[in-house]
Amino acid sequence: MDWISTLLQAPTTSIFWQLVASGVAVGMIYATIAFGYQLTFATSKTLNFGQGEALMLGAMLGLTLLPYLGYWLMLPVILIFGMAQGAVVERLGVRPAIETKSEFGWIMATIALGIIFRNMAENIWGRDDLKFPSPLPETAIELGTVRILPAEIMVVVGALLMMAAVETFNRRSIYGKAFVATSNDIDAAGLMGIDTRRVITMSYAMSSMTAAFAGVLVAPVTLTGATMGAVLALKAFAVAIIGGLDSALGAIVGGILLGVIETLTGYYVSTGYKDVPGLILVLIVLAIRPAGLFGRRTIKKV
Amino acid sequence: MARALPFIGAGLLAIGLFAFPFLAGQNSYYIHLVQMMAIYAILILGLDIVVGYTGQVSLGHAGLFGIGAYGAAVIFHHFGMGVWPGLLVGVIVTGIFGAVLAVPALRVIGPYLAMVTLAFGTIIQIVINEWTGLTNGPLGVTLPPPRVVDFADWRSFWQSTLGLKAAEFQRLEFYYLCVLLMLVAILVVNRVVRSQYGRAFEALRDSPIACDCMGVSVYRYKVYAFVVSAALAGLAGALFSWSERYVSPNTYNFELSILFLLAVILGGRKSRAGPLIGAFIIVYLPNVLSDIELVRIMAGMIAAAALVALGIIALRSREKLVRALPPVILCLAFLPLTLNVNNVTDYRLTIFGLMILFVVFYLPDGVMGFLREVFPVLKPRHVTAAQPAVASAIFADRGLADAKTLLRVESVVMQFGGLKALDSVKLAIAPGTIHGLIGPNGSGKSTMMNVLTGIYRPTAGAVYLSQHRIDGLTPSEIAGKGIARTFQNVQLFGEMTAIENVLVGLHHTFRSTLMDAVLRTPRRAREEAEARARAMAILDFMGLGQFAGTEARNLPYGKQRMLEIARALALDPSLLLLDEPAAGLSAPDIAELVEIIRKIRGHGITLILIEHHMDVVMGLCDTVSVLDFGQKIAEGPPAKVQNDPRVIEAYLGGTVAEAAE
Amino acid sequence: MLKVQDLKAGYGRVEVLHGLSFHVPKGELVTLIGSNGAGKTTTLRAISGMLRPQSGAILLGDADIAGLPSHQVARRGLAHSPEGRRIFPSLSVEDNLRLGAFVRLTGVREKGDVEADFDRMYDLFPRLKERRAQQAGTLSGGEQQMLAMGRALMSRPEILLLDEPSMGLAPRLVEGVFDTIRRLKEEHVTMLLVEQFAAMALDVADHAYVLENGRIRFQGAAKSLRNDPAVRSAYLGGH
Repeated sequence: MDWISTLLQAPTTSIFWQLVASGVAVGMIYATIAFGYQLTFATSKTLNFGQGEALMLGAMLGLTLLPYLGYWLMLPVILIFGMAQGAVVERLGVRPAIETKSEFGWIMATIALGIIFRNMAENIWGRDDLKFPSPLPETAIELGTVRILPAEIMVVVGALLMMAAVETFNRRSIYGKAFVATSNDIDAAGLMGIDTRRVITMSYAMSSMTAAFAGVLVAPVTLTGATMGAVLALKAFAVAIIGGLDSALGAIVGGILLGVIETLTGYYVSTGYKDVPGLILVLIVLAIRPAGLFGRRTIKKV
Repeated sequence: MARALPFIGAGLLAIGLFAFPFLAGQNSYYIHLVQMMAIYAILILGLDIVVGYTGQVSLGHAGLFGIGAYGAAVIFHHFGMGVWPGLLVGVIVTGIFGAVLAVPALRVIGPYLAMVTLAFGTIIQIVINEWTGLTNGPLGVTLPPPRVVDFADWRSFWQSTLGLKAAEFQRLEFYYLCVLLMLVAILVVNRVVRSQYGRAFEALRDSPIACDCMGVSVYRYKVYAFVVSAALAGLAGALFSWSERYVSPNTYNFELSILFLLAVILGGRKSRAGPLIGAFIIVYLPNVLSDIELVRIMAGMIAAAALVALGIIALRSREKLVRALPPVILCLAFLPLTLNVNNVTDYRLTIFGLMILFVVFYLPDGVMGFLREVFPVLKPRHVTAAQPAVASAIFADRGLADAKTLLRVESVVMQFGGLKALDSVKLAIAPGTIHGLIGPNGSGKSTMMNVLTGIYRPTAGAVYLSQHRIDGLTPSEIAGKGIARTFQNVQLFGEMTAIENVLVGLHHTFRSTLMDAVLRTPRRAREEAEARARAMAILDFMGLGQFAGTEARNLPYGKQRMLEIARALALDPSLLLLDEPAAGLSAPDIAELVEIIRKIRGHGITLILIEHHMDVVMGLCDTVSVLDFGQKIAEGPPAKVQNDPRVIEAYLGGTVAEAAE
Repeated sequence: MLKVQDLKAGYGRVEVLHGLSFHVPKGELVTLIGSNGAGKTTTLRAISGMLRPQSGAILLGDADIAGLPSHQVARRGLAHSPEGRRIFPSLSVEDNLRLGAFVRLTGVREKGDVEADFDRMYDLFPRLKERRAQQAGTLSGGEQQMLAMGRALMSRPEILLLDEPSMGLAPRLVEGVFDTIRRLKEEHVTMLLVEQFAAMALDVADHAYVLENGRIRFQGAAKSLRNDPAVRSAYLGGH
């Protein structure tokens, strides 16, 4: 185990752990968005291809409301806004497609809604990236040789809290259980008197809510702009695939894995290529194990 | 008349495009516009193969387009090579990338494929941006005016004949190249989609599992579709870079992919005219949008048209009125929107987004689909066959095999988690017989069917077809060895006609290649004619002759069941598996089915029959095997099995069996 | 209680039920029997709204429930224990039962004492009590069947639809299921039972309808059909 201690002591290693730390923070954002994908996939086997725009809208609206409400009062408003936005996407784009059983329909419709939201945001807030002030001090905290920004810690804590809150809701309340029941077996859930269409709408609302929240969390760490969501959402899909579309733990593990690989690539290879490993990971994982690394394999039925 | 329509249309199009520069008075703006339409149309024709024919969403076509564009630009940048090598490199390199993209795309469908292609497109964009040594990075590459024909003599000849100046000629020679290649692309795509390749693409879209079981490997044909589609995207890309004379990484982004998809679905899937309409709209629309007055006039016209449509619908039916309201409101909303906004160009993407929503939900077959509804003469003709082959040519004259068993199942176990769906089942099927397979729900009959056709790989045991071991082979390999099947829930290729369904089954009779299809060689023409005659004979044999040109999804249910058997027979099987062929049939249909099954056996084909209609089973089968809880509990002649107490118990439960003794 | 009139239903273009009429009086146990593919399950699915009937009326009490989505049918007091049990595999046994009482816990139907009903279910199915915290997906087939029945009963339904409770169970377990059905009958639960095992169904039922190819072939008091050879021929052919 000598090499570990050398690694820890060498001057370059503090950079290494530094990168790991910020990789974890970015990874938790991926995990949160991926978690949002899982919510809608569980209930309706559909995904919002405009998930990145839900995130972006959360961040942009948060930035706008910040001067009026302050950070902590802005948060609940953003959460409610996110829910409303998700419900709109479901009603306009997904439900008509589910009713006609058109997979092509919901894919195209959520993409279309996504670019509409993005274009709207460009026209409202402009095309330039903006700075999102962090509610926490900007000075880094030193942990040994590793310096971590308070905003990064908040990303990790906030993301975990959000996921824990949704999971608790699902496990404790009867409505949350109805949600799980719907994702287990939608027909049987209907027989219990559960309005499964409303559950699907709710799953979109919750999914966009987590994305909007992730947007507010990530905004101080990155820049805020109309196009901020697109690549994040794509890489979060990679995470959802790696972690499997049915496992929250898988999303966290996958998110951290990707986040760390990315920051390391960005530093040791080139910043320009930092998005590439995640995308290649999507291609490889889907080519080898379509159900994801943690996902359950399903039996093909004829 | 209707037969000649496509030719007349193509002729008019060709003449119009060739005459256009002169009609447009050499106006370079309009010539360039049409040139762009031609370039986009080439890509969209290719994209339609993936979207319309194989039914998959590709968000990576902007990436493929970019590869083609950079292929041409890079070999100019580094080696000074001109248009022709550029086109060649663009097509070949992009075709290879298409095959690369197809690898992950093979195993996934729907949303996964959309994401895979999106990831692919994003990677391409990043690599173009970052690999400065090759692509010159964000600075892009500038190209000189394209030279298509480099023979001075030719040039002076054309110049003197047409009276053009040198610069004008240079501009026009590239225009004509683009237009010509677009016409070639139309021809190529037309020929490919009407060949056995096109049929395979559609088959794997409508039912991948049935496609595999017809011996047409879903994997292989997905790759073909992607390669053809990518090659066309590469061609368009190479033309694009010489047309714009400048390439830079940011052009080939997600929005462009969306635009291409919009063009395909707006124009109308599965047609040649659709991509042209789509290309026209996506090229021309931005020009419209830059003129606010024009936009307002158009919005006014759309609103007026929507109101008229609403009025007509309101007169016809109340129920439809409610369903028509959202799109009409959408159309009406455009007008105040345009009146309030001064710069519509900024809202370009919103307008594209709204158009996608509108098309997806209210115009799923695009403009062409709409036109075909209004003017039925535009509907594609369904070619049937002139003369059916003689009945004896339908089946190979196999006689009865010498061996005592055609199919031997040795102690097959199929385990799903803790459940043993098949528990050491042994079967021996004698050639030329009808072997019934019965049992209560969940007893393992369908699992057996799936094991025999390679959809499941058995956990243990072995399956032999006349001495050859077949378990572990893929469904399409097993189909190639002569086992055909039908499905419990009918798995036809719904959007294809009856004869095309049978032709997919006859796929194994084709030896011609993709090149044969493109060049329409005599070999291919002969094979196609033979296959069509044989398909027609099979349809006649099944009593479906009159339905040859009807789309499978529009057939009555009983006929659909028959067509599935017809398609299976086209494989020329030695063993035919029928999975509940009588389910859902009316009494006269069942009588017809029984007759046909007898006729099939009469031609020396061995059958395995799963059926719940006991009269059918008892009347037809030579031997019946009974499964219960995944185990074989009885086997023998029907009458004996019918009175076997274990069978009665399995079906009715313990006590009635005793009561009936 | 439940009255079905000229019910036609099917999947896509296929009509499976060609006009069924039957009724289930309050407090009685009626059974639909018939061979595979006769349309028994389709009938139950059409009644509970899992499948939209093509035509016909389904009267629950006085209201026509034909065409209502299944959650609304459930809210009117009809419980359906579907074919293949369809328990929620990732939830615990107790949560499965609790979801059975969803309509009561969310105030759609009278709440009553849900906790007492848990005890009642555990009394009816002691095995479930032992496994109350276990994930339902890990239960054995017989236990899953108990859970499916318990879950349906938790809504305190006006009528209970049971679809092939014996399917895939070993004979010993089938006995247990039918013992439970007998017990429920003593408690005057109105039931419509679909069974492939005609003998046992006829043993417990008051009245029976024999289905063949989507039509009712004959009906009568369950006792009188017990020894009718026509029942056997409906299953194994040869009439």
